[in-house]
Amino acid sequence: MSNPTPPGGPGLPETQTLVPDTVPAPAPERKGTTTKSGKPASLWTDAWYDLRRRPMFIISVIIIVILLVMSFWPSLFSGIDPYNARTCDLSTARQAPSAGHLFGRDNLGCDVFARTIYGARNSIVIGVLTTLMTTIIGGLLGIIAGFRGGVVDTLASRVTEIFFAIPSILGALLIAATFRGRANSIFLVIVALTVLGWPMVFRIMRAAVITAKSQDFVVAARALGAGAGRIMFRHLLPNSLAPVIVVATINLGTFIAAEAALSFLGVGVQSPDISWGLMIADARNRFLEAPLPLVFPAVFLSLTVLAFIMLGDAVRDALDPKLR
Amino acid sequence: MKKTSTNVLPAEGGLGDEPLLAVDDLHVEFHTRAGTVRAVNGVSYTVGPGETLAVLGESGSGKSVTAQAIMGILDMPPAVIPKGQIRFRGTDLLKLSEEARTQVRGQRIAMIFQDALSALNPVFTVGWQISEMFRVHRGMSKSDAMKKAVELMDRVRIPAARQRVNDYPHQFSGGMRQRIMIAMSIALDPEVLIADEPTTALDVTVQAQIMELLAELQRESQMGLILITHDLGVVADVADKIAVMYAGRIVEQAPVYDIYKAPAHPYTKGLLDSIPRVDQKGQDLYAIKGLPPNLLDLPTGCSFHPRCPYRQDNCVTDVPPLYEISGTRGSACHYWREVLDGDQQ
Amino acid sequence: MGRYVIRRLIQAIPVLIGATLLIFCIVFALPGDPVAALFGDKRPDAAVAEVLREQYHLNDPLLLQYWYYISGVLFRGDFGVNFAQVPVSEILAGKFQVTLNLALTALIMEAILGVGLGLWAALRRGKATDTMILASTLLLISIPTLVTGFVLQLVLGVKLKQWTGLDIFPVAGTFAGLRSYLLPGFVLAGVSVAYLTRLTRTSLVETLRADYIRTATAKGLSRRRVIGRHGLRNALIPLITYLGADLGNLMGGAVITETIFNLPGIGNQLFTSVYLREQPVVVGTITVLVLIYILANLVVDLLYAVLDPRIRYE
Repeated sequence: MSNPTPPGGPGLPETQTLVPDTVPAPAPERKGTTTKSGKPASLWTDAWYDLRRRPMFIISVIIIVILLVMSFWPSLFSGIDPYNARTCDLSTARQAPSAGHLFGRDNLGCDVFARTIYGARNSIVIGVLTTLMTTIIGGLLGIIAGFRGGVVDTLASRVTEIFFAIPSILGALLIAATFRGRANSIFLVIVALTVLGWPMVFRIMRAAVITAKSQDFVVAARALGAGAGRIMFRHLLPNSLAPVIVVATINLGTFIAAEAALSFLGVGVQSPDISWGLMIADARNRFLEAPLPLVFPAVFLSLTVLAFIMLGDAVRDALDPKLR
Repeated sequence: MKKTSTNVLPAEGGLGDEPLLAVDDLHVEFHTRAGTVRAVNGVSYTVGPGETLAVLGESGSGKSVTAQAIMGILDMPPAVIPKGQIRFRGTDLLKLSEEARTQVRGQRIAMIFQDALSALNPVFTVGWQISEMFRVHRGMSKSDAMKKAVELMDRVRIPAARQRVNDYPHQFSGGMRQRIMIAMSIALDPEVLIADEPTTALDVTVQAQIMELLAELQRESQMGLILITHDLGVVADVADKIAVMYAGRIVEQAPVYDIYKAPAHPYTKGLLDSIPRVDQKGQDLYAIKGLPPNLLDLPTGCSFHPRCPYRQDNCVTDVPPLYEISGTRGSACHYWREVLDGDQQ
Repeated sequence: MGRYVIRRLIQAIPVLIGATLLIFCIVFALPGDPVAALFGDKRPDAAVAEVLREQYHLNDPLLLQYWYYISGVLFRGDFGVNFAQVPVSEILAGKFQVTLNLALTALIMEAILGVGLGLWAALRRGKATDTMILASTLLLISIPTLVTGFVLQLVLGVKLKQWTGLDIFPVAGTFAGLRSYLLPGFVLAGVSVAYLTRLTRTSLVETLRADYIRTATAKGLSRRRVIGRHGLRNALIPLITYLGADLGNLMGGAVITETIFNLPGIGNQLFTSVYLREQPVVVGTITVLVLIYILANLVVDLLYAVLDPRIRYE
């Protein structure tokens, strides 16, 4: 099907179903999407209807909910508080899993299960905050550049090009390494990832705004004398949000992976804070003889990244049915 | 319908009683998630050597789908051909194996598409694309095939063909690109040429030139030409006969002169009345009421009845057959006499 | 073509200047004492600090400082020195080969696996094969290099040897010659393979919908020729751009992969410098990598023009 669903949603009234000559009719799938009042469903209600039926969406949401609960109330899952040094016992280092210590103990004799559970918080906090920051900065600049056009747009686009010339993990590494020890390590990771992460959101937002700008209702709003602010936030923003949301969701996953990488390299979250990347780094030296202290945080890390990328994929498919 | 495919290629030489190409009671459906789209519902027409058949109809009338079925370039699935025959020199193409059909395609039945810019491959030179016909189908060497390509470009009157043979499609104007498309399609002297809206994407002056070129090439080679269009104006000068399609059916079939003089179907009449004419300047332009039919859910009886000024009760229930008006003429309207006589209501 | 090349070269200049300026600003121009930053949380003694101040022209105005830095980088290949006064360029010189071998191994694997799987999925679109391939790309994208690195090292490097007695994939170092790069190369390629697979699939699916594909079929060409000649040639064009952008991911991944597999390349050096808090080496190495990245993308853009005549004759 090469015909994109028209903006009004696929619930076309019967009389208007035109069949293009060379291409079979774009199937108005999801027949039940017209709302009770008979109006065609909007892009969002339609996407939501579609999403609820996707196993990928359901699985990712379940994982994410568990992760959120885990990061807010880790004590629900683990009776041991890993931030309390007395729960570690060097003489039990690398002990195999047992009833009280489901995932065994690490190189310092600390409980791997408790540390893995408590590690969720920093990953989620860093992932969510970085996503928020990049989306706000990149989104705002993108909407302004796309709406204003001209010099503003050219300038902003050139600046993003410069940021794109620096591979993000290297740039973040540079920032984090430069300011290491001079600021809160979690804050530093968020800043480092934000500095390198916003241009991507900018690009997507800008492109979406430029597309939306030429649509009739925006042209009409301008002709009617609506102010710049009103046009940007009442008309352009809602119509450009879909691709940004998709990218933000997928980015959340990649930011979490990047945090782990930075922490592994020693410039991310610093001990005594707990992070999966840090746990992997700590377990690394004895990994080949005692893999479990590394494997468990690695599995949690992968599952978390997977959940957000799956969610992003599902949302994209729901919002953009073109490529199904 | 179970098909037994054969590898027997259509014969060459004399035709006997068989027309060159005969479409017989063709049905094409698209199976989509929303339901079955009945794009072609029993179309029959024939083309002889040197003859031009114009197939007229709006978007969705099934005229292009029929052409693609003849070429065998429908995507199947979602397309299905549940019924009908496409006889080329007496051989039903639908019963041929894919291998045998590939032998017919391009070599004996060729096709020109509407938008030459998108129909030509952007990353190969036009010379490469034309000469591909000779290299693949005739086994010619690269340089010989290229010489043939230049000859063909000369033949479709592209200026400075020798210099331009190594240019890419986007370096040509719209009219020149369509000429290249035509050169490619006539490369192997096909017996039937299908032109699907060949001039729709072009300027009016260029349109005339292209039509002239097609007519001339046809005279030289005596190929059968199927000209698909929605534009009555294009048809008048070049066509021998016209088939008007609506909702996947032929509603009227007649020699060109007859149709222009007196249409025998209300839809044809509506089309003719909606052409702007100098002698009616200042009057409101006639427009056919209503919207084209939904192919997912065709109206009962005569598909045109919701828009028809001649409608009677039986139009809603009975599908009109193609009534024979004369030996060469037919109309699928219960009230063709009234239409022909011109007394509306 | 000539005009396009020149325009593209000119466009690269502000990016080059901007990117180096950005690096410079991060390290030297932000609030806080850059000398202290060079030492991380170690405390330099006053004399050393003053030497460094001189060396980095920190007592000069900011723009002049930048000029010293960029002219050193561009004209003298001067990327700074480490604490032992060994030039960064010298430190990195011997490590390029290792990283290049690793990157090439990864790129070849990426191209073969990514394009191959993508084509396979595209030609079986909507079938079980397609679904399976898409699902595995999702997994591959989601598992960080950090994790695949360690897991494959354990499973294919150690366990496989224990179970079968065959030493196919060396676990660390480059002692086994090119064979040493197989496993790390695959780990490095992992995420990119998945993206390339998806991209190839989308690109080919889109291409096969194009009008010129229908034309090619109507010309009576075999399906193999239609897809292989007319489809593939067009579908591959966008993939080239991806490979350029992906080099950045490979560089980031190389730091982790070389560290896990103990390959003495630039990435491993970067890790060591970060660990040892040798900030000048970190800055110099990253500057080198960024320059390579910009140049590589320039080459990719020119390659794009070679593949797509519409751009060539713009």
